Amino acid sequence: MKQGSVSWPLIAGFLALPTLLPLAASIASFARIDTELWSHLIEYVLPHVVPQTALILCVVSIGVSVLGTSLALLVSLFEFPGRRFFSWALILPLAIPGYVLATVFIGTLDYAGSVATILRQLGIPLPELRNSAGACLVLIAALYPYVYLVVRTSLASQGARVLEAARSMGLSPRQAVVRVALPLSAPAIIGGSLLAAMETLSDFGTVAAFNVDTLTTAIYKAWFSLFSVDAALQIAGILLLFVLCLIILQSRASAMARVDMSGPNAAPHRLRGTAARSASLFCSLILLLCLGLPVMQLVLWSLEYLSRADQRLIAAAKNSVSLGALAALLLGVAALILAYAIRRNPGRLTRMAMRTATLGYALPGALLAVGLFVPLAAMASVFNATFSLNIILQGGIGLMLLAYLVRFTAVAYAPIATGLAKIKPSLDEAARLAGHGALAQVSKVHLPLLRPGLAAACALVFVDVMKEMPITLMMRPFGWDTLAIRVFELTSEGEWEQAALPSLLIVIVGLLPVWLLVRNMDQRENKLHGPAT
Amino acid sequence: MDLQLENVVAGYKGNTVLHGLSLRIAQGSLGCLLGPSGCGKTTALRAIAGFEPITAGRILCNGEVLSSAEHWMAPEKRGVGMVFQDLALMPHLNVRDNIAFGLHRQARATRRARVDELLELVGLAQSEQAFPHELSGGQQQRVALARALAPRPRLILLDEPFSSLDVELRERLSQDVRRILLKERMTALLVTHSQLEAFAMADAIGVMQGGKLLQWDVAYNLYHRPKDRFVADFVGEGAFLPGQRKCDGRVEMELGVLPARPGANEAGAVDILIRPDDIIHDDESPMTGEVLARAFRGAEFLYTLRLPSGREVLSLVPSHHDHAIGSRIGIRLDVEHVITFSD
Amino acid sequence: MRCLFAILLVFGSFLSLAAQATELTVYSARIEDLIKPVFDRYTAETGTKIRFITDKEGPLLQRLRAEGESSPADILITVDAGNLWQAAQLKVLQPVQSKVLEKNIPAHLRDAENYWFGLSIRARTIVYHSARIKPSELSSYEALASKSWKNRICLRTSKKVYNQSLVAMMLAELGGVRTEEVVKGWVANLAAAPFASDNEVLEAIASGRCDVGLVNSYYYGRMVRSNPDLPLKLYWPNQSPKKGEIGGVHVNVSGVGVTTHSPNREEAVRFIEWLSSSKAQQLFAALNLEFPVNPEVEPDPLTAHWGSFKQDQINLSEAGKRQAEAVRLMDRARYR
Repeated sequence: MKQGSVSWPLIAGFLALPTLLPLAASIASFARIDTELWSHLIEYVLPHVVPQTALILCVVSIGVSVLGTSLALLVSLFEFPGRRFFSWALILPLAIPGYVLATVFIGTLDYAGSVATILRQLGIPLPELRNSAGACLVLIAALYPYVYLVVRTSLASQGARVLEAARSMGLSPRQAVVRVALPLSAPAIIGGSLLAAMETLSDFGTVAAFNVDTLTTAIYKAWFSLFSVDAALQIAGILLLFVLCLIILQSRASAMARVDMSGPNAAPHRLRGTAARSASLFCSLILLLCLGLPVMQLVLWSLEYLSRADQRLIAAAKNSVSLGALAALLLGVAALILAYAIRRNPGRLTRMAMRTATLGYALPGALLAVGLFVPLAAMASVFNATFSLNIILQGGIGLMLLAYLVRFTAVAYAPIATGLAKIKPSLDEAARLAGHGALAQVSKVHLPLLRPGLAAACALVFVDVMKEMPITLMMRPFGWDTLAIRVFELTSEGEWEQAALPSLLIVIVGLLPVWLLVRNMDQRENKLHGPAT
Repeated sequence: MDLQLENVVAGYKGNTVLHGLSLRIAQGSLGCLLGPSGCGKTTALRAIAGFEPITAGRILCNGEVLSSAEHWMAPEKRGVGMVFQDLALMPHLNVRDNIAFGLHRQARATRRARVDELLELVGLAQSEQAFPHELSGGQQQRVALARALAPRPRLILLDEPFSSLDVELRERLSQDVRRILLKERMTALLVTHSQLEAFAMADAIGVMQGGKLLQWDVAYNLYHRPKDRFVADFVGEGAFLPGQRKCDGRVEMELGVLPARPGANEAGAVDILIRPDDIIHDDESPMTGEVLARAFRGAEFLYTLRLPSGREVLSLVPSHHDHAIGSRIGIRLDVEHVITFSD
Repeated sequence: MRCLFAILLVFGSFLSLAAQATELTVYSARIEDLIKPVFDRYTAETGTKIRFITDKEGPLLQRLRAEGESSPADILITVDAGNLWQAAQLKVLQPVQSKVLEKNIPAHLRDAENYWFGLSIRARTIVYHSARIKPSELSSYEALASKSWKNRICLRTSKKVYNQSLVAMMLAELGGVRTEEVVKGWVANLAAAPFASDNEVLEAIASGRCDVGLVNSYYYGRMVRSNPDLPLKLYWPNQSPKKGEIGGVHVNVSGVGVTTHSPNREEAVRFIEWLSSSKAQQLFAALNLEFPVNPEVEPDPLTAHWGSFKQDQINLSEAGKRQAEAVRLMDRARYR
């Protein structure tokens, strides 16, 4: 079915183009293999780092899937005291950067930490937590909201109804969850955990705080300590192999059937007695550990440095917000185009372009920044006379946004693609017969129906940009601060307690869009499918 | 307006779905494509709407080419309305806005008047602010119809429009839809696998199988004068009994001898279509059949009878003749239309 | 519509950021709080404006390389001699001949070929738990490798350049075999897995998890300044080195160089000369509790309180030259 002469694979390919730059840099680096360096890496670094990365990846993926899915099932399918509150509050930990959570974790629970010291005096020594187990715990706490958010969205409109249908066929609530609700949300679980897995692969801040070695720390070691950008790019190539495995696994899994039901949702199953109390307790505990305690600790640390809440910090906050908003807008549009291209032309070429465009999420930020900057700079010096390119070179907002596009397309794409898939193709055709062109179809049919997905995409990007460090550091204009840069500046000299205030601001500013997102989504669901009470 | 299909061939990737479909629907009349799923009827509908390209033949509207192998007019330019199988109502718009969806090029006042008119026509004036999920299935159906009618298309296409409704609602709605279409003097093409729907609504019905149109005719002829064994089988109930056509044209069979029929007269073995109303219950008749099954239909029983040869026929009998399963009842052949098929 | 307007406004404000002015441009791996007051003082004195960007060393060097001739940068400031050496290797710095700099900065704290110049000294030294250890038990970095320190020392990760430079200097002075023996000894004596920061090492010692650790002097200074009651004491090792020990306290610098394609070379050199002058030195060093490179300048009272010490006199270029080798050695020794 053709419409106009728009080449969707071409458009998708265009969006994937920027990602090709760092990828090409990684591939090209293999022409310059330093055999001596590599024999060292193979003998002493990789045997330690590759299994450790794989282990962390597995543990975190399973952990976020289990935690995120169980919380989502609980708040979507069951009624218990506080369900409405938990339903949105459990998304909020999304706003806490992993490196902040790691620092709070170590600052309180490691041997010298406040909580550990008190416990030790009470005769309860804590186990060693500065290892891969601790890193996994923190990563799970920081990343479970990705899974929670998508699974919750997938269950929000019809989860309870499915459960009811299953129970009418004689299944117990537990059986209904295992045999119906879980398979139903499998694509969402896989999609969410893939995001978490990619973020885990590219994470540097969290694992560095635990001094745990992964492929990403090995990349930085090769680059900063062994002075070999090539080796860094080559290790990044290995990391991309990990991503490739993840993507293959995901596309295998998401080939599973999707069930789409429409109509009013049913009331969630009411839990009673111990079951209800345990559900409330479980949700409270997770919220306390992932949001309450870290924020409290940050507040305590900030109190000493409240005087630092000067004009500069406010300016940095403003910059963070406007940068996040711009990036959210840009990525919302880009991901919408990409998802729309797949809808209109689900061919091999378009899919390949989509896969490429979403790869950047797994690349370590600093490497991606350099991988983009170097070829762009090379191009710019060819066209040296061009004024506009020179502006870009001087570290400008355009380049930053381009880098964010490469980095965060995956984050924006997932919720939009899920939302778009839910819109029946017959709606497009109906709109078309009503004489609406492609653009009008998008604005009159898709956009209104996609609002929850778009809002989720924009909020995720906004929060991620707020937390992002390496790209912002490298590409920002002169004298330009964001909150994340303030945190970097203070923490790079070990001033963790001073960094608490900007960290806290990141969390607070990040909470806002997340909260708006949740409210918007819930109202929307009520309007389209009847209240989910 | 007048819709015409000339030898339309369509299909995807080497798999031809339509093999030279030709038909014509006159202005203001309601045509129907009837057939089992996979027969190509939906593809035909989508080709007319412009959602499927055709590889040969032409689709014309008042003589204007909509589709041919070389030419393709965009769906939105065709002036065709469509009621989708899943209705495709916009879940984010209320009834009024759904109906007004195709009226975006018209002035506000005209649009308003047209929507009011349609709300009245489909009897939903009270629910104009409701959202689709708040309506019953029948109401949703009527919104979908009103939306398709709103821009006054030249032609309206209905794709299995009642498939999601229960049987009773189907019958009532199909009458409503026919009344509304007539009132709007709309040319329409319906696609369905339900002959009752087709009979209730259409002026002319085409039975399709394997991408071919087997017969395009009024309902009466499809039932009583099927030109094809598949049509005979698919439309209405009945059984085929073997017989022998003599040189004089008469047909000899188990239940007696049938008179000659002008036309097909070659001698040889034939199959005779026996409709349930061709077998009359007659206690006087020497011929009997054993009751194998019976279905109560209010005024009548539909008996499945086993003939002495072991073959089965159906018989429609007034319901005061209540015979138990296993009993033998007298039957007589009373064929008005002799339909035979030779292999 | 209002939304569109807002977007245009935001874009507009970003564009205005790109507007250029004639001024010095600094790329700095030393964080803003430690350089901006110095820049402000220079601007106040000379009227020359300074704009700057801070980032990690690796990206800054790659950025300079990529920008090539069109780079706006005049000056690169980084911490650690290893990074300065690497910058010279990558040809993003140019040599500067200056009598003033030669006079103000001791020879071992600047590049032999004048590509870079140290501005402040940080000493990587031993800190010990004052209640558990007597200073007489301590002598040198190398002595911490002996079995008597089993389960008693805390170290920061080997991924930090400070430790890489220390090991690189050992390599330069003691050779590979001895250095590897020392590093393996340290690893065997660790009381806890290596930490992510010097502060954590200090906290670990204070909490009694270990007895000694290696940290940069200013981290110690900051911690005891805000918390004078901590049972932490600083010790200057290798003051009378034996065979197989380096010749003094390992010092490193944060330093500066003029970029190869500096658009304002003369002004850049003037600025660096000013940085080595007495008044700038005092401020620059005091900002981070470091020691001035200029021997004529008195150190900050707090740092002076720690007493004077003998520095290792080997030229810091060695730290850069041998950094990669040091990293491999630490990998072999399983020093994470």
